[in-house]
Amino acid sequence: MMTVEETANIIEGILFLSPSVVNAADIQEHLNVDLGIVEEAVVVLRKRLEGTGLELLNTAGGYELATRSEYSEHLRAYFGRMDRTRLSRASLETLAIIAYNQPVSRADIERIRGVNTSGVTKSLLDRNLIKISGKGDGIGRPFLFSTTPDFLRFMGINSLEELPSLESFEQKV
Amino acid sequence: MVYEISLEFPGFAGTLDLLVERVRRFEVDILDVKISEVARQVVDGLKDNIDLQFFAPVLTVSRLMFLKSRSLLPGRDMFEETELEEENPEQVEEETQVRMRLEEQYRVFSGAGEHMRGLAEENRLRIRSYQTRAGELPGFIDEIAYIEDITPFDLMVVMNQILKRALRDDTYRVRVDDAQLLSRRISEVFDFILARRGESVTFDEIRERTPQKTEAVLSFLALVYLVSQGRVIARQHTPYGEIIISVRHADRRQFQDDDG
Repeated sequence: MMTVEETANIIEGILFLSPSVVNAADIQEHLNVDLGIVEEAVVVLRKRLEGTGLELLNTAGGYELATRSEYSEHLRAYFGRMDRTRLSRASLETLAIIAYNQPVSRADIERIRGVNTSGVTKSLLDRNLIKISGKGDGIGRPFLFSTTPDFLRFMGINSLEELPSLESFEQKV
Repeated sequence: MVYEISLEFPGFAGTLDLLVERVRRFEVDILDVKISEVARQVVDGLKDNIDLQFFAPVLTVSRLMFLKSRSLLPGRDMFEETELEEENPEQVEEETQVRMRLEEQYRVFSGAGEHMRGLAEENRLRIRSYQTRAGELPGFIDEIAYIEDITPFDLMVVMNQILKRALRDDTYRVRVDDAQLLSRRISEVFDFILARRGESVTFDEIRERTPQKTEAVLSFLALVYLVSQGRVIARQHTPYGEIIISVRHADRRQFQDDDG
């Protein structure tokens, strides 16, 4: 029987080596332990990482290891990676409309933004931040767009519920 | 000067404007007006007056044609359009409200977009291990600046820097006159990249296959073409560093599907 500590060690290794988010069910299946043990081990691991340069994140419905944001500058300088991946204002507005209204057609997005968005949606599709999730019932059966798990990773959130309600932005307006 | 064209045909004699007005008031039945005859007389009247202001009668004839065509359509009131032209205060109010609602909606989503920018910026500061492994960047966030984030000015500045550096080094002048040669090389390079089935390829690997300098230039031009066509992504982690090439995500997913 694997102990919680041992499970935590293995999870640490998996997360260290994994190029993508690892979810609890996958770990449970591979280690053949109860989900409760996995969750307990994650708590242990998170505690263990306190005060280190790493943190355990809950993103896109799973776990991943990342360096702490406060050391970003040093790490980027060390690795010589000064490139920046940023989304344009148009892309962010389009993502926001999709995230809060999904599934949504391009016509609906354009109705709100008031401009053609075919270039922006193509760019977001290319980056796998959105996907075509179906077809609408309207004239021409338009494609409907939804966000992907990679969108959650990009934003560093676990689920769409972590986004603030639209009402909070209405108050700011 | 107001140019008026006089018309004359059975049932009417007067100017073109008068004809339109009488039709609108039901004083002349539009069905009795031969548009072809009106057009002929208007063209005759315009013959000796080539001036922009004289095109007004042409527009008037168009208007007449419009009124007649509407009257010929079944079940349509020929003056329906006249009613629509008059401003309906309720309709204007409704349109204004719709526009205001859309503007408000836009501002809300614009705010949500700004919030997302904050989240993404914060998240960018947390570095994952895969981000330091060359050629193993995950599909969703290749750390390259995308075309939409680059202005022509940026490209010009970078090109200028490259040229300045190039002039300091030994340079070779190569002419590629044979378009078929380049076209063939584009196919070869793309096939070579595809053969890796989603794995990254470095430009050095492509160049090693054809060690001659002219051939390397051809391969580079082929690569530039493939990047410009969106077929492959090329990235460098450092200026003048190794060029890492991979196929676009959609093609990569295709490999995964093929592999089952």
